[in-house]
Amino acid sequence: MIQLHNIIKEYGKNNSLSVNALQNVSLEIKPGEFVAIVGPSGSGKSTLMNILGLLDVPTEGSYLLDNSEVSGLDLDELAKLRNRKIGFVFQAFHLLPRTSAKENVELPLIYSDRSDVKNLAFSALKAVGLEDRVSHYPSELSGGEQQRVAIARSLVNDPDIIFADEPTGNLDSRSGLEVISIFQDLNLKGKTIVLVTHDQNIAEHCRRIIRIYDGQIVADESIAKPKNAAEELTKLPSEKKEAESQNNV
Amino acid sequence: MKTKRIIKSGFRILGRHKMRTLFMMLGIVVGITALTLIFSLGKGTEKKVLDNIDRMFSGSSILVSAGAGQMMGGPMSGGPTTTLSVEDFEAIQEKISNIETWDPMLMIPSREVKYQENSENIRIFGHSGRSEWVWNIGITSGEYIDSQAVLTSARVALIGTTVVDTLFEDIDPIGEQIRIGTVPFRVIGILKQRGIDPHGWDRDNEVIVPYTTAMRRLMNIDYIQSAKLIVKDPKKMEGTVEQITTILRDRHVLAESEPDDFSIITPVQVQEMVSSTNKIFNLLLPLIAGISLMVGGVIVTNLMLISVNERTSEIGLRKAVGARSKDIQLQFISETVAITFLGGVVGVFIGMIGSQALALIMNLPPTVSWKALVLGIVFSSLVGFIAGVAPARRAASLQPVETLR
Repeated sequence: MIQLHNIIKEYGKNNSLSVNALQNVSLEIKPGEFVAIVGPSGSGKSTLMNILGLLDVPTEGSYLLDNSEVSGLDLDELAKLRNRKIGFVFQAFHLLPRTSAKENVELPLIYSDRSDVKNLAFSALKAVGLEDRVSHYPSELSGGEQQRVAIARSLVNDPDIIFADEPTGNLDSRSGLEVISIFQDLNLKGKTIVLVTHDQNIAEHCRRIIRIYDGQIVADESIAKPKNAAEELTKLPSEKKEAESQNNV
Repeated sequence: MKTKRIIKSGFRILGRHKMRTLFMMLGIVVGITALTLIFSLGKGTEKKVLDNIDRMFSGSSILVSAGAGQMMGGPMSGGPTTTLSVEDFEAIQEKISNIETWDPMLMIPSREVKYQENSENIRIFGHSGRSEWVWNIGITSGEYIDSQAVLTSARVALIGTTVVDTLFEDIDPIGEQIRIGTVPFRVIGILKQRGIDPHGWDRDNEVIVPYTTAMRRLMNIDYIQSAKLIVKDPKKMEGTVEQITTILRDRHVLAESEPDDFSIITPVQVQEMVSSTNKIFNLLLPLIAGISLMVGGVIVTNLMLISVNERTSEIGLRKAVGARSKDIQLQFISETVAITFLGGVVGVFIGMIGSQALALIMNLPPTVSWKALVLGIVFSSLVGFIAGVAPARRAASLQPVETLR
């Protein structure tokens, strides 16, 4: 589905202080994969994510999405592609304030060419377990719930691939696991998911880890037995009670 | 479909920040309210003035006054012109077939009128018996001046209702004796109420006597100040005026180079005068309203620019999920147009209510200017469109990569 070939991203091309954020990056992602891109800050993982998500264009190199070249497309064409094929989940959720969960999820539909849009938002919210939070405003939702609304939003246009940028960064460990559990569930049902993180623990829930450092890919390994977030969740309450009782002593 | 969805969402977003939306609307509301008020009241006052003129000066009337550039008697410059006479008009009536009838007018601006111990300074008019018809003057009791009274310069008078209140209080004035100046008169009738005219004169505070009596016993003159003629066919008005001019110039022995020593006013001229005064009204005040509308637009632009700066991550998000630059522009312009459209509707609403209320207070006919309503809403939407251009451009220029980190 995704084929990057010798991608170079250069900032400040016209002066002597140019920086190569990405240098000769090549990779391939097949449908149905669950990939984590891991690296420290400044490694270029955000830049790579932006290019993969069609939010930015490479300076050089080829990007084939579903076998068609996208590196030369103009802004409007990229927008159209993002709307149809890509769903985004961000670290800061980025929900519209004072707008209901349902309307937030419907946002991508406004810009699509589809006309059959009646119940898509509701189905998406149901898929993330928030069917009874449909009219709530973000201010009335917990962090975990807000991120789940964001996930529903990313699903509403039935995209081919979901890009998540540090999706658990603003969440506590419990909500974080809930979110990862949803991703794992979606992946089981066939969704291709690419996750960017600097957290090794989170990355180990995916089935493939690509490590990036200084703008280059330094490792690319598949995980035989990824951690199971749902299982970890069931263990959590007892651990919490233990911690509480320890405090009371 | 997509366009409609974007516009609808733009309109709905305004509900998110009600206070800010309200502020943005304020300038527009003020401008449109002012515009609506001005148009409606302007129409109302024009209508009232024309109505009043119509009542006193119908489409078949011609007013001839002594002296160039005078109206309704009373000299404007220099001394009174003494060349206009009753015989002039008798000749005019004889020679011009289009003249149905005519009535002379003399006016004493103020003379002491006394009844027993009460006295007031009152305006005195001199007319013939035909004035009842020609000037549409009515009486509510007693009898009108007749041709015999004119012939004998009889000392009889018709008095207005204000004069009755001031001098007679509860006593029936008919048959009573009053003094106009030093001359005794007998009251023979009470005039019908006419109210206050556009100049601000109380038309019920007047006394009418036969013109011959006025000329000989009160003013000691042998000329008249003005006369009103009624024509049979108003369509021939222009020709009739020319004929009158010729006859008068001839009778007054005026050389070709000399100007008229009289002035002729027709209803068309009066209406033009009213319209031209109104033109100033109709130009200046909408200009002021237009300026306040512009200020409203500037407020909208500025507040919207601030809004754009605050909503950068929202804009980045919209672009990330598929909004193109022109989709973003459309959204923000929809927001500004929605604000100003709403402001226009509110402004028109307040303006309409305000103008009805003011019309009631100012005793004007309540008119609804539909033109003002449509113009107001159209202009306010236009302002919204223009005001939104700069913020929309700025919003559309933002890139998701910059705003979503």
